Amino acid sequence: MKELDVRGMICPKPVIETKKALEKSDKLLVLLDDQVAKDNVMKLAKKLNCQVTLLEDGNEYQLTIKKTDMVVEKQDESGGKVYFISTDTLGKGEEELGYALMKGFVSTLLEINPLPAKIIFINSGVKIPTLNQQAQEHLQQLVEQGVEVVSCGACLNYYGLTEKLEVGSITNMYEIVESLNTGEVVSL
Amino acid sequence: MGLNNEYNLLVFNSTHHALAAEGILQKQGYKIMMVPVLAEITADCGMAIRVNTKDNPLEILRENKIEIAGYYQVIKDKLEKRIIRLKK
Repeated sequence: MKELDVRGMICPKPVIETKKALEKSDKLLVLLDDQVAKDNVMKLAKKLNCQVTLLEDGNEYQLTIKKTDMVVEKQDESGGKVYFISTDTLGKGEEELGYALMKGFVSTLLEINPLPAKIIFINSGVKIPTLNQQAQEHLQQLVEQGVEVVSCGACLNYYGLTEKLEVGSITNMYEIVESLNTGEVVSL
Repeated sequence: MGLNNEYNLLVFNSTHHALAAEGILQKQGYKIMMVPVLAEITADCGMAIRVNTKDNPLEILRENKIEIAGYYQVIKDKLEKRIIRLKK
C-alpha cells in the first residue's frame, strides 16, 4: 500500500496531497499529526466515496483510504466461493488454538468481499454451527446476508447434534458433491 | 445488539494471553467475541477480543495478571471505521 506522510504539513496541504495521491493509487495510508487535518482528509475521502479507516493513537492518526468503486466492482463479480469445512478446529495442532482460530475465521468471513456463496460443514465441522456459540452468531449474520449455510445430516446424526442445529439447513451428500463440483471451493 | 458496529477491542502480546483472557472474561459473564486483530492495528496474525463498550474488562484482567498490548474503541459506520486507542 502506498504511504503518504503529511505530518507537519499545514492545512490545506494534507488534503491536497491526499487528493493527488488518490488519483494515482486505489489504496492509500495517510499519516497525520493534526486533528483538523485528519477531519478534513476524512471528509475528502467520504466525498470521494472512499472507504476510510482511522487509527487514532493520541495525536497520531493513520488513515487507510480505499476507493470503493474497486470494492463494489469486486462484489458485482458475484459468485463467492464455496467453503468446505470438515473439522471444528482450524489447522492441525493444539485443539485450544485451533478452536480459537476457527472462531476468528468464521467472524472474518463476514468482512470479506464478495461474501462466500456457500459454507458446507461436514464431519466434526458440524460442531461449529451447533456447539460453537460465537460462530453460530456469525453464521446467522451470514445467512441474513444471503450466504447459504448447510450441514451434513449424517454427521449431525452421528454426533447427536441434529436437534442443536439452529443456523442454516441440513444437506446430504448429493447436494454437497454437486456444490463441490460446480463451485470454486476452499477446503478446510 | 451484538459486537459489530461499536465495540471495544482488547489486543494482546501473545495468543496465550488472548486465550487466557477469553476464559476469564467468559467465566465472569462478559459478552465477548474472539476475533483476529484488525489489520490497521497490527499486520501480524494476532488474536483480539471484542467487548461491549459498556463493560470494563481491564480491572479483571489486571487482577489475573494478564497483560494487554492495547485497548481500542472501534466504531463502524457504513464506509467509515474509527479505531481509537484508549489505553496502552
